[in-house]
Amino acid sequence: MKVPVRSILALRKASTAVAAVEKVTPVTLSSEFFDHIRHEVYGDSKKVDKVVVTVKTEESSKPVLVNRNVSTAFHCLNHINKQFADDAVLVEVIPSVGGSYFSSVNQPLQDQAEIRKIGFDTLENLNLVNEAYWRSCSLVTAAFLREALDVDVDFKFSDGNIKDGFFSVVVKGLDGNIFTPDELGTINRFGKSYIREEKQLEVISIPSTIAEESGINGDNLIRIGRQVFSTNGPVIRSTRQIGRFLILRSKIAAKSEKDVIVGGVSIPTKQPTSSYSWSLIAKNANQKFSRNL
Amino acid sequence: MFRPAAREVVKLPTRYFSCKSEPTRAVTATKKASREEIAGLIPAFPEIYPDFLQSPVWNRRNALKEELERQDMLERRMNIDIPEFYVGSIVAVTSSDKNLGSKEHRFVGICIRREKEGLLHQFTLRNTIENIGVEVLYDLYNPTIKKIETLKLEKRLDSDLSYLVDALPEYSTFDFHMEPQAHPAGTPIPVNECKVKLKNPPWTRRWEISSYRGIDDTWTQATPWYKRKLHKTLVNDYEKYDLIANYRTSSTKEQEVFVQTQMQKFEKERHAAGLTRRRILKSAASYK
Amino acid sequence: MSAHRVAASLPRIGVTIGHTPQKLKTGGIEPSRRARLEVLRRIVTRTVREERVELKWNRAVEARPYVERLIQLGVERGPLDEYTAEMMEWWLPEKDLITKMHEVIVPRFQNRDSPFTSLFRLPPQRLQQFIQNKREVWKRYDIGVLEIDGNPFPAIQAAHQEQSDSILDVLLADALRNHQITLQEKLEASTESK
Repeated sequence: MKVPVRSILALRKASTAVAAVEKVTPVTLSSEFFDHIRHEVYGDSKKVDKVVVTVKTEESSKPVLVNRNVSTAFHCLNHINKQFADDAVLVEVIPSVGGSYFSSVNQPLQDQAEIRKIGFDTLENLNLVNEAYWRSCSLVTAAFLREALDVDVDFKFSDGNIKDGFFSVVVKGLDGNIFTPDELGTINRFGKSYIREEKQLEVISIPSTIAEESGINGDNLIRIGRQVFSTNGPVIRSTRQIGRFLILRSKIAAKSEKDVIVGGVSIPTKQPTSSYSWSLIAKNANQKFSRNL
Repeated sequence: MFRPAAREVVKLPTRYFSCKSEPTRAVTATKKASREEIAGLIPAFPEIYPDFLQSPVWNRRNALKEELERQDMLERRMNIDIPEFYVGSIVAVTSSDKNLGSKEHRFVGICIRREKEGLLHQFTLRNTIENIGVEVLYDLYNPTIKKIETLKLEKRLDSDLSYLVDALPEYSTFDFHMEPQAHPAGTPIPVNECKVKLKNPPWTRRWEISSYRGIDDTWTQATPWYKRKLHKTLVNDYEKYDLIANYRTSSTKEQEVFVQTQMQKFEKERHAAGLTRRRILKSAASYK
Repeated sequence: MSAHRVAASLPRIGVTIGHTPQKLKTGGIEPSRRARLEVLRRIVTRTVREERVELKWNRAVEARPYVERLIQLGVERGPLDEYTAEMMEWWLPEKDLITKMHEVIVPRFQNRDSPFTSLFRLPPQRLQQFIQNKREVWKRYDIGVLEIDGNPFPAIQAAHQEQSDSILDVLLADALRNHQITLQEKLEASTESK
């Protein structure tokens, strides 16, 4: 029995999905939950506290007055100019107290700090950017698959490397049914239109205490559109930065017969490529995915 | 199109994405290299050796032809002393003439023009003999020329004195037995700034619309008919502003350096062989 | 030979120059050598003022050596030379540009050889010419960008970066490598089968 795939325009109501998690305490990841956690981590948005953030560019540093725990790095970068902010993929945050760390652009800032924009053309942090991009692609795939499929599905993410040539997402709940070529076509079309809607990837950085309390396994809670996921590590700013995108195919996981692995490949918008090159990359990714795992 | 001999083609470094310009040229000339080569080279080379320049027609420049001609020219210069002279200098040429008793014919005159490149280089001497103006055209590399002497080395205000044909005869008369006036080495070439008076019009050419600086007051002498005709005449004095048209006809520093180094090399070889001590590459205006 | 006495010869212009001058369309005036020089003069003036100009490709190609020669005159002969002054005065009718040339542009190239300018191609543009009896007439123009090196604008072509770690490069390099391997295998298989 094949799982019918929803049409492109079908929307899924934001209901709770019971996920089979490894952790003891089960947790329901939803938009309301996201808002709840945000309230917990960042406090009441009614009490607005100001903080000075210095935006470091190549030539100069510009101090900017923003709201603590509300404004994200994106808002700070916007003070330079919009294109500068749009190009940002990650930010390096150097707080006045404590060590520097890398965070997503849509993550609220908590303290006075210096931020440095990292884009696709920043040479020093390319590996980080690549990792974040691959991670984001998996999350976005999960997001639109959840919207598209009319079955309650849950996802598991594995640490992918761009050297693999593809990214993958493990889908639980499909009962071992892989997608047919028609379904793949529909999924791809839906996925592309989803990405073109330019959804922001909102991020909350969860301290370990709250994570344990709420049963989230991961450093960050990410919301894309209406879907919420938890991951370790920063993600890109928005689906607008995703350029070419293709879901290759799905196959049954080796470990458990019921899990389906969906593989895909993508290239950022900032690195345009001819359709011939893209076809080579896609073909290669497909071959690798078929051979792998 | 100028194409140097195969061994002299130099590959220029290609610049990323700019309009690809790899014209072949005779010699690499970075600023460093030219400074080294400048030792012993003459800056006024195009004026002293106009025969060693390239053809003014860009498409007729041919490296092989120039190379072959240059070799012949240098050989000839080693056999006979071809002195330095300019348009406006008084030159005496002794050429062989089998019909004369002394088998020699000597002509003295003012050089009014020097034309053509390579072995074809010609110069014209003008003098007045028995009140008749005479212009004699000589090929510089004609082997029947026995001797060329510069009786008076000087320059004029123009590089072409064709207007002397319409000038008063006194400006074209030179004594056949004039004594040569030695030019002290190291001094600059004197410029004779005399302005020539023309005879009454009509003239052989439209001197009134030309830009010769050596003619004295052509406008007042021109007849009203010619003055009325002027407004219909195309007076093209903007030609000097066409930088690239002038570039196409003129010589470049790289080419001059190349030719001069060749001449120096040739000189050195011949001196080493011990046959002559004649110096080819020299300039009267520079110290020895 | 010209009646003008020039000093030591100038170096080569390190730019492709055609052996035949182009006949440029002179917009309204009857085309002549003088009209062509006027067109070029305006382009040269605009180039010296703005340091980067976008214009029709053939005109850019034609004007480029003139700009080069002007800069070369400034570099080799200096502002006090009579010939240079005459040429600058004619080619740059806006007098503040002569000052700009000698004080801003020429010092950039004191220790450099020709070429001092760069020429890039842009995609051709389709521009509407006119409408004739409700039929739109369009024309295509090849566009070029002529710029004097060292101008303050961002580079037209980003500096060539060895970005072998970017996503596209990694994926593409991998794809090409594997593609080559498969082709190799196929070739070997076919030769073996024969």
